[in-house]
Amino acid sequence: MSTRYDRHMKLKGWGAQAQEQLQTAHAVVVGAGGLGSAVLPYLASAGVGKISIVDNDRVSLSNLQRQVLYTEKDISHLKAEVAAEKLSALNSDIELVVLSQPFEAHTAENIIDGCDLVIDCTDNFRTRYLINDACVRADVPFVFGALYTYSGQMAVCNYKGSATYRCLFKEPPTDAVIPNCSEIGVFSPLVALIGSLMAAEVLKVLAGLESVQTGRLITYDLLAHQQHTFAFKADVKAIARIKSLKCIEPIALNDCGWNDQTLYLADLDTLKDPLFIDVRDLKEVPFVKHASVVKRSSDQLLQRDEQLFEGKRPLVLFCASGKRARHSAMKIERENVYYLKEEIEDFIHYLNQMKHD
Amino acid sequence: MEYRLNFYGPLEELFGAHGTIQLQEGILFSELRNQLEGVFKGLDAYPYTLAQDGAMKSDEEELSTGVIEVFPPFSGG
Repeated sequence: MSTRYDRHMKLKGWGAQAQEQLQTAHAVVVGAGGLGSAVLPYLASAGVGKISIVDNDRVSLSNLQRQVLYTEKDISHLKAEVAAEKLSALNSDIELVVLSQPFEAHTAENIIDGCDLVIDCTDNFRTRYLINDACVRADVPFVFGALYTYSGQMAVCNYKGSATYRCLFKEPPTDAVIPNCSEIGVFSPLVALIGSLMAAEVLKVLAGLESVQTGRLITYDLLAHQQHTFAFKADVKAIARIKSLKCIEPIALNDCGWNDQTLYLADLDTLKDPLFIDVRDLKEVPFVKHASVVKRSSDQLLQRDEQLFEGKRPLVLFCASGKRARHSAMKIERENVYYLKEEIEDFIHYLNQMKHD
Repeated sequence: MEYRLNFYGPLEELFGAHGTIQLQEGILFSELRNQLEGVFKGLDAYPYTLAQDGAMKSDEEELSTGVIEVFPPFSGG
C-alpha cells in the first residue's frame, strides 16, 4: 500500500481493508461550491478511487471568500472542470469524472447509478430533495450538509435502512422563505467546518467503519460554538411512497436558479450587443452606471415595455443575486430574454473590465 | 407549565435564540405545533421540525418536560 495513505493506515480501526475499500469506492459529489470545495480535497487525498463532480456553475469573484478550491485565474471557468484539475494534481491515482450539468430529475438516476455514496453539497432545496429521492430509490446512502449564516447542519441518510432527509424535513418549502448564501451571506470558516464533518462521515461510510453517525442531525453554531445532535427516525411510509413512484418527482419549489434563460458572465461574450436591465429597486445600491444598462422594475417589464422588446437585441436581466431577475425573466417568457445568475459585485467587475478592454 | 424553546437559523432571527410558552403537560406535538404558530406569528410560513430530549418528535408523540427545539432546514451550501 502506498506511503501516501500511511497516516490513515496507522489509525486504530482503519487498516489495509478500509483503505482498499476507499480505493474501490465511487462517490458522487453534487455541488462544487463552498461545501464541495471543503469536502472534495479530503476525499481525493484519502484515496477515494472514483469521484464524480456534478456542477454546472462557473467560478465567480464572490465565490473566492469561501470556495477555497478556486483562485482568481479560475474565474468564469466551470467549477467541476477546475475542481477535477486541482484534485488530479493532489492525487493522480484516483479517477475524476466531470459532470458540468445540473442535477435534474431526468438525469439523477443515471448520475448516481452504481455509486457507493452521494454527497449533497448543494445550495437549494429542489436539488436536495431530488438527491434524497434518487438515493432512496437506488438504495444509495448520502451525506447532506447545509448552511445558514454562522450555523450549519449535516447528517448521514439512507445508510443501511436509516432515516432520510424527508424523514427529517417532511414537507419541502413551497416558497423560498429560507434564503441561500448569496442572499444572506455565509461565514467562510463554517463551510470548512461542516465540510470537514461531512468528509469524516463519508470516509467512515466508504471505509466501512462502525461509528457512522447515521440517523442524527448534527448542528453547529460557530458564533457560540454550540453543537447539538438530534436523533431522527426513519419514516417508513414516506420512504415507501418515494420508492413506489414511477419516476422522481421534483418538489414544486424551483430554487435551484437554473433554466434555459440562465446566463453566467462567461456567456455574455456570446451575445451580440446585449442590453442589461437592472430590475432592482430604484434606490438599491450599488448603482450600476454603464452605456448598456437601463433600469426597469419587474412590474414595468411585465407590462411589456415594447420599446425594449422591439428588435432582436438580447435582453439580460440582473439584480443583486439573480433571484429576482430570474423570476422576472421566467414571467416574460420571450425569446432573447435572459437573466444573469451572478452576484451584482461580479457583474460590476465584468462591466469595469469591459471599459478597460 | 412553562416550557423553554430554542430556535435555530432564520427562526432565531425572527424570535430570538430562546423563548418560552405556557403549555398543558402531556399534549401531543401536533397540538404543540398549533399553539406555537398561534403565539409566534410568522412561524407557519416556515417548514420546521420539533425535537425534545435530543430526538426529533412526530406529531403523534407526547410532550415531555424538556426544552423544545424548533429548527428549520437550511439550504446554503
